[in-house]
Amino acid sequence: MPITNAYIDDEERLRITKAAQGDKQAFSEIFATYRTMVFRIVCRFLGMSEDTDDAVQQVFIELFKSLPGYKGNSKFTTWLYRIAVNVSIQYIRKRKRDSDVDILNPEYHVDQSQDTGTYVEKRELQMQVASALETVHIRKRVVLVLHDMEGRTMEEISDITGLPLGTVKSRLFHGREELRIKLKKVFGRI
Amino acid sequence: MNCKQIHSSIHDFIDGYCTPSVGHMVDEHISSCDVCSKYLDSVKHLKNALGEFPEPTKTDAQWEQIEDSIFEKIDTSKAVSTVQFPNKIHSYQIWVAAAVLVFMLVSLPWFYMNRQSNEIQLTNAQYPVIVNVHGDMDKNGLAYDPSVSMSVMEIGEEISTAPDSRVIIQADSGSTIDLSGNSLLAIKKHTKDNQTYLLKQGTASVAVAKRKQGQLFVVQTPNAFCEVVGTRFQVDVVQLKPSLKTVLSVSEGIVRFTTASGDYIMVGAGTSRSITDGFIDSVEYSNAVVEKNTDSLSSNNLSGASRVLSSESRVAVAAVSTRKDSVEILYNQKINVALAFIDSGKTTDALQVFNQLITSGSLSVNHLWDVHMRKFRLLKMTKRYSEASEVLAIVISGNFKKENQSYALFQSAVLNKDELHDNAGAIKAYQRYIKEHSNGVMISEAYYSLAELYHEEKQYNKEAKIYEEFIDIFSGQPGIERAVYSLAQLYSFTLNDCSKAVGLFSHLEEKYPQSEFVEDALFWKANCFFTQGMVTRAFEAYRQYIETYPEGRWSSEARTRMTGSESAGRNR
Repeated sequence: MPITNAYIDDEERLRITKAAQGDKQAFSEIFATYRTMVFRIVCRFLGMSEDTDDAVQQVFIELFKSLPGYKGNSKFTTWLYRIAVNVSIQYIRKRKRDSDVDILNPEYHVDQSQDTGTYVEKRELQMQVASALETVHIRKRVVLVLHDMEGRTMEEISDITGLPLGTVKSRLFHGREELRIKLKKVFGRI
Repeated sequence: MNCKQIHSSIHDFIDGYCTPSVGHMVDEHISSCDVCSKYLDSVKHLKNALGEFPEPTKTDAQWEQIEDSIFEKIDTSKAVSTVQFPNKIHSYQIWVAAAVLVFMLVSLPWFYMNRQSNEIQLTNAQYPVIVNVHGDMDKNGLAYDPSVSMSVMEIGEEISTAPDSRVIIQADSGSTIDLSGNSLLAIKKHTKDNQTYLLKQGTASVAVAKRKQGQLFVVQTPNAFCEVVGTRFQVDVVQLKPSLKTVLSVSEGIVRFTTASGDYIMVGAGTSRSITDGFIDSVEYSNAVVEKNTDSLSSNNLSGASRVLSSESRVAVAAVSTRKDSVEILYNQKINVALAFIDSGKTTDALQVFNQLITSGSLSVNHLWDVHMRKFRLLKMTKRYSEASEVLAIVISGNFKKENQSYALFQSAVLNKDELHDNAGAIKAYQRYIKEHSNGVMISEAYYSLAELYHEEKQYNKEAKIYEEFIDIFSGQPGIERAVYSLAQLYSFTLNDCSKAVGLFSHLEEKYPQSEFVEDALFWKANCFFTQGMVTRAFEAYRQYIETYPEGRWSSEARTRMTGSESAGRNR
């Protein structure tokens, strides 16, 4: 499986090729390189919940299975983003099936140099934003997360999701509008 | 540009996607339009709020665990595909194989004939599966590309079709769902005994294969359920000289009623139709009234007996427009009323609305949590701290989700400490948080806050114990060096245990060389030696400090102490 092209350097290409052939050490190196990124993306969608670790595992298992199909005609991170987003959506769907919509409690390390009052305020704001974000339709939410939280460009998001650029832009606009209106109810303004 | 046009450009403006000319227009407009200027601020604020979610972390041990699980699962799946067949075939194996083959050849016709009664296999990973796509569709919000997207659908997944497109889904080995354009379908359940699909909008034409009793196939819409039930009917052959009448009465399902010449009608549950000789009678009866005639003809005159074909059922569902859940709407209305009261300063009225919602008994757990927390925030904002504390107590002891109780408990601790000035209450709450919510998001803050409270209360040994416990549990995690330094300081200045303090200062230097606390740790370690009269070591430690931090905040102090150490050393 020759991976050709300039989206990845030679070292990375070799590692991916080896991992695709079943080389555990190579896959372990890929895991070490990208685990934080995957964890972060999954947390954006699922928060720090019981199934987050499961979802992270699933992303890497899917990656392992799909490595032979990676031809190098897009960035490896784009490929990985695609898998991570798809797996996250599956878990969201599973969640909705099993229970009412959750109020998402994002579990993050808050900057400890701040005093407790600021922690709590910031934490509360994050909870409200996360809670409101969870009620935004998944189609718009994907774009919001990838653009405003992950800092991906429109073109990258278009690559990741397979959506036309115009659709990405439109979903970003409508997603922000929806979120803004929902948060306005809580804060009076945002 | 008018305000409406500006609003859509404002997003591009904030993201840096504007052309210079449009950017200039936006700039000019917002400088003179208060409304659009506020809109820009709110969008910016929102974007910043989203961008400020910090990065979650894991310890190395946690990553190792995850990696092990991944390799375990990968190895398991690979193991299945590496089954080896024996290289040598013994003669008895040939006889066995032959016997199996003969058995299969003999029994195949029997299986074929009885195929209809075989159990329908569901719940295998092959279903439901997208088998045909004309036009565009999304799967889970992402464009569906048959070459890369999975055609098998999982429970909870959703597909939506573009206008003028059509998708066929194979629900199980004999059932299909034909989804037209502008439709939205989600998979709710897919087990052996229950297939439920949610059609949120559009049209689905569904063909359902025969099912056993109790096996459900349901297409649900926002306001209805379409359930394929079993098929039960009664057939009566009524001899009417000189004619023959067949009466079909359907109690469940739908049956195709066909004449000998092939004309047919579909007869649904609760109705009866008849065929007299070769013709379908035009009269339809409800099952409460069935015409019967007790005359009989000889069997020779039997003709045109009704033939009931397969129990295939057809359901065509056209969803009406979607609408929101009425409970959700009512809830939001009430909350809006409360918010309006808050905006106009009518706190008591807002609290009344919250209390009505809480006592209504009709809220879901999530809504109940939401209302309690709104009430709590309002009470806190209006400095009614005792009442705010009571609200938290209800949540902490109530039937809420663990993460919600965790949050409420932490809030209770903060309230006790900062507003009620009840250190004992705060200590209790932090202790409980640490014990019951060791995975809680605020666990680090709980440990630090508890340590600080112990210090305030001069319970230094407890303070030390808490730091030690915290360091032990969170060793290696970012931010732990603050705890190490605080504990070292405690041993050094308060508990007068310099050897422990030195050990901790050294640990900080070695394990966290980039930490902001290292400079101070070096100096105070030297100080510990000095205090203990370990002159040589003190001298060395001060020298190390000065070499590392020649312009450091303790450099002049260190130089003075070095001189002191030197003199003390000479005088020995």
